[in-house]
Amino acid sequence: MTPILEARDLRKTYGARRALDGVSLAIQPGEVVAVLGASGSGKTTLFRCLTRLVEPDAGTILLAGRSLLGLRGRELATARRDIGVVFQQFNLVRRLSARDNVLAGRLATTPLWRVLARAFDRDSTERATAALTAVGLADHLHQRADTLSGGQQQRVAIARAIAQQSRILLADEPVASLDPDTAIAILELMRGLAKSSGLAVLCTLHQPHLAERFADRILSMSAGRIAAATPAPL
Amino acid sequence: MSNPSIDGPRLGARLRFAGLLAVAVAFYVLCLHVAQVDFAKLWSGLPRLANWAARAWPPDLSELSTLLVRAAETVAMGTVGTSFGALIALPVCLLAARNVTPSPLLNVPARALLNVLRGIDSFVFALIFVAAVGLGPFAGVLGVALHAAGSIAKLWAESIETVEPGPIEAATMTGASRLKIIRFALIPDVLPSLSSITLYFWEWSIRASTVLGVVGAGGIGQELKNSVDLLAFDRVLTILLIVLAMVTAIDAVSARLRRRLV
Repeated sequence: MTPILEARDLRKTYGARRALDGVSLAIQPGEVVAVLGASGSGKTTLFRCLTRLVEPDAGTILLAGRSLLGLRGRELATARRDIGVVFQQFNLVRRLSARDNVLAGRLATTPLWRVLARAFDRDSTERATAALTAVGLADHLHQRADTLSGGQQQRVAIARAIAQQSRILLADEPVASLDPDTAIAILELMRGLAKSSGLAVLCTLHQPHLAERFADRILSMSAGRIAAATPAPL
Repeated sequence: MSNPSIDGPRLGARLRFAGLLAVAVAFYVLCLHVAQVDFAKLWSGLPRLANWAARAWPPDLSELSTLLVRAAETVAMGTVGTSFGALIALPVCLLAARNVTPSPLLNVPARALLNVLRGIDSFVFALIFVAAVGLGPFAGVLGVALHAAGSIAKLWAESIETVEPGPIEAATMTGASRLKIIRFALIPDVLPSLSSITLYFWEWSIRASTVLGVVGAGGIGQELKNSVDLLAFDRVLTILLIVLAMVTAIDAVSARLRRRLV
């Protein structure tokens, strides 16, 4: 089976510091993989390279078997539709409602005039509502994003990936700003999505007990390398 | 005596400061000379000023309705000029802001254009437009619009550059095009500060418009120039009072609106 996302020998240096020093990994649809490492181990750089928010210096990234690194402009944008993202700091548009933030997942397939007028079609609006219902926020559709709690904001970000119909969810320290109970709820939500819909989840974490509880497989990073790959003791 | 290794650099710094100070003083003295500052002339002119001031009272209210129409013209010039300026500013500021510009190659010429527009006062633009489109407030509108476009776009671009990158990155990962990302992830975030900047320039443009009549671009400035030329100081006083009331009212409205935005 072709991995949905594969990286081979990714390298990235900042000045003299080797943030990524030859990282390879592969993830299958429906699989939940945790990248575990201390801060400074290179996991955020890995996340940013896999999304091409940062250009790696060398290596290969294959998204559903297709090289991501050669793509530019519109082709890159189209490829990115397959990648949903969740950030530590949520990164929602603060002054928009929860549902508008989820509708961001429909931007690529919505005509420009509808985006400019913020008049999304019925199908997109219904998908956004359904996605928010799926993450347990049916009662907060019209609430402004910056008035939601941290856990709720992260649910909105996950709902955005659902509305986007992405095939892989990349999450960078998605629970580092959340309290322990909320953290577990968010990780279980992502795991549930992976197991019910075949979404692949690649998630960076710094707490081993969360990774062990949540992931099918754990990749331990240190000094820009994957030091160990272990199946989690489920 | 204290240690020279401590005193050495300190002495050097002092000498450099003294040198800079000497240059600054010399520059200032030169400016006084070039500007032909002559307080004796002011002194001898004072009785004339006092005489005019005495003749200004009571203010001449006989043409109040004409003057109010001219004041309305000034407000209209400033308002329409600012709105045209904002329309020009929107695309240019998106090219000039480093975090959203499509290419650094567009960034530099966009900034250069803004500096040119900002560097030339609306008064100068109006002077040129009077020659091009004739006397009247429309020349003033165009003058205000060009200068306001440069100033508004520059402040807008700076405001856009301070925005957090996170929400824009998140929107980028949905596969949306640049324009959609700007509309959806950037504009909602910066709208309050962009509106506040626009209101500030609306105020500013109306103040600037009060003198545009001097170059024939309409508004209360035209009446002001005519009245000074005719030495009709009671009329000048009326005009100054109208300008003062108008500017104070606009400032108050704008300040109140801006407070509500933040």
